[in-house]
Amino acid sequence: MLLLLNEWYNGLKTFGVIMVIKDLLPFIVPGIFIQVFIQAYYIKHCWENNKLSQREKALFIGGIAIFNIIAAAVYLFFTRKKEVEAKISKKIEIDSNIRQGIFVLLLVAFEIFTLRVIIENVGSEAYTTIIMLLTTCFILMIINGLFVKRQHTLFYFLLPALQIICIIFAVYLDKAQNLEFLVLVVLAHIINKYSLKEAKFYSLVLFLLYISTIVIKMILLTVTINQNEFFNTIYVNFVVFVLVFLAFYTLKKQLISNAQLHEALKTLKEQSIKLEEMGAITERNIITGEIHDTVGHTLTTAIISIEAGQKLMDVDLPLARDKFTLAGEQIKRGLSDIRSSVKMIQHRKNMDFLSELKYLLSEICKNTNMKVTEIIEIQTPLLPIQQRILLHAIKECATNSLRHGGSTEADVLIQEYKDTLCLTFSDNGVSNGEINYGFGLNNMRERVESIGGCLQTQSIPGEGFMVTITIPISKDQGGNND
Amino acid sequence: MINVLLTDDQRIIRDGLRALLETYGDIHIVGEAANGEEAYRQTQILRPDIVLMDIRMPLMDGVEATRQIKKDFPKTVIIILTTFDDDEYIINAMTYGASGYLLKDISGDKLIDAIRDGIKGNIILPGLVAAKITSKLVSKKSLSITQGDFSEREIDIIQLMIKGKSNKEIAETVYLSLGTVKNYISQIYLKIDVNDRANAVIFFKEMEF
Repeated sequence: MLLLLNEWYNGLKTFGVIMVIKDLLPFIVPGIFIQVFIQAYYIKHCWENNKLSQREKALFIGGIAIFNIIAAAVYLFFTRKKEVEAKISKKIEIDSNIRQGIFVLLLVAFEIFTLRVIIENVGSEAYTTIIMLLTTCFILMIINGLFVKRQHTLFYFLLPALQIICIIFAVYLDKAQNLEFLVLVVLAHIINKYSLKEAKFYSLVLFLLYISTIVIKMILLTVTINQNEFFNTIYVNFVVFVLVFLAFYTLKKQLISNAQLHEALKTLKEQSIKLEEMGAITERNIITGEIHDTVGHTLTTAIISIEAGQKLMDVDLPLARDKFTLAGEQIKRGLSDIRSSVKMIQHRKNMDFLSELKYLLSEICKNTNMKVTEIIEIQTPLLPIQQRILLHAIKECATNSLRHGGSTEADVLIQEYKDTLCLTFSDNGVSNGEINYGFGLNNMRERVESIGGCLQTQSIPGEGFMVTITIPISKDQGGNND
Repeated sequence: MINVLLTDDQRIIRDGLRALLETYGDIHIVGEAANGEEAYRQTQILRPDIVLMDIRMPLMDGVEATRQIKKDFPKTVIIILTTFDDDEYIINAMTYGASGYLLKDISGDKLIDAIRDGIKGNIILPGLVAAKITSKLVSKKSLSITQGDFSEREIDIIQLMIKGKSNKEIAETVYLSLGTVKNYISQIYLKIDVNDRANAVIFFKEMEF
């Protein structure tokens, strides 16, 4: 290898590299400027990225300065926004229809490229062998794609290996050097079928085998090696392979994280329904208990007194009148009992509101990894309708942040100020400065306005989304239902 | 004279309400309805100023009746009368344009107040008769605002804002998350009725914060 390099270098010298460079100047000069510009742009980008530590910054800036665009690409991938990863116990798979759709397309691609390769190889000695190898590979691909499941451990891991061996042999025998497309189809198939980790492993194996086969083939089969062509071939193959790998790999990853997000939202929704039901049941139990204790007792006494009074009416009118007065007093007492228990229930409801709110926020944290920080300062008891609308609004905001903004953090602030209660919800999601009033947001606004409140939204590019809700409250509300 | 239509599926409640309301001189009961469909038909014929509407009724409930009446007769004021005040139905009815809701055990005087308030276009909630639109409530206050109108934490944040600190610096100083600081600042803007930081800082400098 060293010898080759050395020879190549000498070749360049004797060939007159200077002349070649002169010819290329119109391309190289602006090229250099653009390279330097891109370098400078990403160094600045990195410098201003305050999510990195000093050490990482120095590392990336140095890397970009030395290795230029490649390092910039590495930097961008490394600092990508970390997705909201859902903590879900069961393994999320992408929709099997999508996977099978890609599989079918890949089959078609394999067929077409195989035909091309065969046509190009007509008349060569290895013609029959290549056809056999490619057919085997094709059959293996179909079997693997349609019938092999994860449970068939042996076949599951063996088939792609066999496929790789077939295709690498074909590469070795091929005359026209057109088999690289088939290698890429096999690569795509493996990424499509296997989990990300397994796909990475097989891709690496395929990549190493493929590149070394090309090298061996060129060294063994070509009589005179043209160094330029040699390195070009390897370089082009390398770049194409990596690009195709990245394209399919990212696609798969994106599909998986979409599925995860979807699942997380679903659980969140289910839980909030459960929460609501639970709240309703406890509330009902409390109310039933109160009614049983207070109203039941006084009403019974009142009925007895009235019945006694009715019987006494013809016999002893003054005594009957006493009984009626007693019944009236009982009923009055019952009413005041109801009043105080209503007050008590309402007070308890407010407690429920706070705990319900905290529970909702902690559920959001738990299910989505979105970090929610809340500061809640309320003294005034809220009416049930106000509580419901606020809880609904927070739920809606959180869903929006996850679904549209891909947020990782959210903050809730609830404060009281004179006759108003103010709720502000903000996130750190992707926002483009535009607010799209969909059904959810419109519904939320209508609800808030229906109780005399108002809703404001704000979206600043790069800073996330903010919703502010103000509703009128009154210090004595809830206490004066009597 | 305020023309009122009573809607409730229980006759005893309609009678009770009629007896109660007729003692007030400026109320005239124009009719009664036992369900949503009837309420809509009666509204069409009698054109009341105000409809007192029960939620749960056979044939057509109060929510649907509210939607239809507000659609065809938007000037009609609808007040929901309900036994349970934590009902999802109430929220729906209010988003369809009901002016508010009251609990059935409300006293006569409060009911009359609510009816008069409803006619004026105010929102009616139990214990909170005559709620005006909040933004107006808040904005009026900016004239007479003092330091006492802010919580301790808000005062800390305001002082840092005056010093020209960025949100991030403020967050680090007061040990809060960046989002929470943004939330606080947005609520401070609301209190003093400004839209941006520059005006807020000018406001606070003028009041010698």
